[in-house]
Amino acid sequence: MSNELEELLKRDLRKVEAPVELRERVESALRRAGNPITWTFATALPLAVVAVFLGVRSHESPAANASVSEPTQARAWVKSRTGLDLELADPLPPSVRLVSVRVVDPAAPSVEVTYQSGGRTGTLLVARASGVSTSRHADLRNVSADSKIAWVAHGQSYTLTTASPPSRPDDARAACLLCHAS
Amino acid sequence: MPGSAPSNPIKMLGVAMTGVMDPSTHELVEACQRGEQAAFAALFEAHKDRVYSIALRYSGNPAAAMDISQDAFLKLLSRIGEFRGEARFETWLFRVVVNSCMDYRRGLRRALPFASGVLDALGEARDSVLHRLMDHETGESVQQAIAALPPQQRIVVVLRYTEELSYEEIAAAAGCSPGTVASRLSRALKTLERRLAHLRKS
Repeated sequence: MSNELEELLKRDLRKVEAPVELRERVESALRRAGNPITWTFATALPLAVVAVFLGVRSHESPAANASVSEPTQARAWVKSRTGLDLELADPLPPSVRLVSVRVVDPAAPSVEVTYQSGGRTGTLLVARASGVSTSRHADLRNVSADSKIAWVAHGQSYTLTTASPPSRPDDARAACLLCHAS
Repeated sequence: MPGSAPSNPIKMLGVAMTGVMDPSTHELVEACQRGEQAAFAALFEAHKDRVYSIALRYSGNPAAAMDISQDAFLKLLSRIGEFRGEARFETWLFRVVVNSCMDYRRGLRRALPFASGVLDALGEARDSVLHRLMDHETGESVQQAIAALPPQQRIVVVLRYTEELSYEEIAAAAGCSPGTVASRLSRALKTLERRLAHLRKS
């Protein structure tokens, strides 16, 4: 191993201080673990509200739009309508805003996610893929020369249309942040 | 300095501790095993930085590092009764943290950065616009290259360079032999040499 790599590793893997929030996180988790009844009750109410919301929605047209702003909300909505797993970053970074989710074809489940970044709009089309892929981004390819990228992951196909051609690093980065926290 | 963040009274589970007398880890662990909440608070303060550092360097992601650290401390508390003092407490702690890192990987399919998948998937299409974009994402940080290593290699690299553990100590934490540690570290460093050389070129 080169000295240069050794130095890089020592520098970039150096110890850091834990954020003060960690203590609060552990305290909170311990409180929850120590009071399971309270915790169960605390979660039961929001879950019930979500269940009622989804139940009401399920009596509407199966091919519908959802104006959502929260990834968990979008994921639950898509799951209930199509069975697809829309695994967006949660929470989304401040630079990316979820605009809407639309079921494109209820017969062949597919959804279109519309997002905005920097005032520009992009879309992510998710559909069931044939075969099973455990790869994270298998068969990654440029669909067109402009702004469309496609890949397959975990049995679902993804087609991403960035807000503008991927020669704009900000747009490409924003597109990644739609699903990836970093 | 009194009043500064690190020496502030510790409050954990409603227990305020002032003026911890720097008891030995052995005494703290025993107190923890007796269910003394303040002892756990002290153990937390003593080890939070190393736990978080390992989690952060392993995951490459502050949010994930918080999740892993939280999980590690919950595991530590729930299993503290199993610690018999036959090994160093730190060795036992490292094993708990390694388990939390591995559990996090299993539970989060998207734990690895996007760039890793892109680099794998692109194969030979290294001149594409997309690849150059991803190089831009990865080229500025060694952490990204480390995050793309297989988890078993990554944890060995992190324990070696973040905690500066010996092969024997890493083996105890990772639950494998020192020979396996040497092998994983060697493979990881070769990969890093190759990947970082590529990033430097770009």
